Amino acid sequence: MSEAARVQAVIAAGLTRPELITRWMADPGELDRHGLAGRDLDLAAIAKFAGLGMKVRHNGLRAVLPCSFRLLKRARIEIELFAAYARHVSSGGAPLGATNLERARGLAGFFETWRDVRDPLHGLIGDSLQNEIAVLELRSAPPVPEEGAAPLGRGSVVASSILGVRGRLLLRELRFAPQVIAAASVDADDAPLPEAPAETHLLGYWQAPACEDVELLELDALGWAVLTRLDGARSLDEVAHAVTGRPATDVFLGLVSPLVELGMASARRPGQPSP
Amino acid sequence: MVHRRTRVGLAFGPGAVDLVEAQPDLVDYLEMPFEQLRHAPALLATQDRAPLILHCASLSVAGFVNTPDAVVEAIARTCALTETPWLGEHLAFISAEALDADIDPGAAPTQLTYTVSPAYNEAVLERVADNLRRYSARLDVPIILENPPLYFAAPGSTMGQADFIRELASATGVGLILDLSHLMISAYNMGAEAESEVDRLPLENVVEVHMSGHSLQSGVMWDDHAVTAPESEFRLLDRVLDRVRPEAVTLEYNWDAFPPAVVRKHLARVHDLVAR
Repeated sequence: MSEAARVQAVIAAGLTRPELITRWMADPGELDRHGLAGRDLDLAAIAKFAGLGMKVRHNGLRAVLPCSFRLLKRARIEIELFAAYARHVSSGGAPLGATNLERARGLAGFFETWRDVRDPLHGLIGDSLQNEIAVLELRSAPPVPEEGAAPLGRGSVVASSILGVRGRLLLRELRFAPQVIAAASVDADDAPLPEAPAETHLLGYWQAPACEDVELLELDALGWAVLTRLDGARSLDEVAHAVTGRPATDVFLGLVSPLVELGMASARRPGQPSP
Repeated sequence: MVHRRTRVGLAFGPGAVDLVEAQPDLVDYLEMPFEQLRHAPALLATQDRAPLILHCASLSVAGFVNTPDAVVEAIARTCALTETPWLGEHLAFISAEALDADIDPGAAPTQLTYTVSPAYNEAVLERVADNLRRYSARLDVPIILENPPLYFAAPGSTMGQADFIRELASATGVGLILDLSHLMISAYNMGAEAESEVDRLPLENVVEVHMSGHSLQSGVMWDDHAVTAPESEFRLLDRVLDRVRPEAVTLEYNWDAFPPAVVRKHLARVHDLVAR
């Protein structure tokens, strides 16, 4: 191998396997074995360049994670983040996913381990990723087919009724409301960041049967607790016990009934087959 | 004095075809990556909307690993299918010998996903000239080469990028893509002035100009086709147009979906500048 080819071989190896750069930084003698002893190779710059390559490989996610990418740019952490991610993947981390959803999940999972928890902008980005990936997840699969009419009509929800979610529902707990995240993503870089509220936002991402659209529902603590337990197997009495420690009261049933009336949940009596 | 008309085009990316469909006179051509067509041949149908100019990142003209025959054949076929007037390629490498190729000659070359600027020296100059001869013989259209962005100085460089390109142009007569964003990035990262670097290039060889954005992160200027070209880049285009009339100017706004109004505005600005 000529000297010029050797230089390219080392740079290419560092870019495709950034963990090598970490090793070369720790032990420059390793580079000697590749014939670059004493050569002025800017390893830190090559490591960052690997971040650019990784960033470009995620360009396909921009359309489905627009706010997250705008916030990454606003935070000016794209290169550092993707350089660290490239190092992580090449060090034996999970390989990049084949689909947008898998790739987005991989990036979000890594971001949570990498981000500075004291930095509010990083917090916004983490929430933004969760929010946009929830929507992506629901839209990535065909909507569930229409189940037909709910076995029980309006006003007929009783303590023994068994409720199940119609369509698909994802529950997420975010510090920032999605509309706050969206606004921050289009603000000027030097605009003040939104204050993190004291309480988290409990959100439901609901896709009705045979429907592409995803509805975003802001939930209260009771709604969250109930929806996490609507599995199509437990009765409302059991759900009420789990949530309140008591059997389902009329008040509880009155609070849950709108889920059926809005079409979010289907109800059946015990012994009645699931739709 | 009569100038030939400089064509104005848009790199293929999210929203590009929709823009052209909505306003067919918006651009004179779409610039299409060979790699995109290879993986999605149906995109060839975009030439019903606008003529195509083929761009490529597969020939590795500054590399020491020969591009597989099958790839060169595919490029030649795609050139013919697209009726591209030239093949735009990067003055860079995208594959390199395996790190341990000396020990294991059978080791597969390292394949990159992003083109990398080579060291600038006589050995690489010769290699680029050889590669140009070899690959040009296989194609029916000329290869033109694009200045890559410099993020670090490769060991073994004995000259700067502008000197290297000037020597290459002198030795081979190769046409050039002058990527103004890459030039500004290289100048910033290497501590030079973009204007003086432009003046040192063989502008008479420039066939096509590229424009896109760049961003500053971690103390380094980076290529960024997800942001628009800054005002300073339009001034640089103006400076180039004062001296030469390239055949084409391409906006590479192709890493993200830009608001259509922004793309139209920037294309109109380029149209105005080249029509001066």
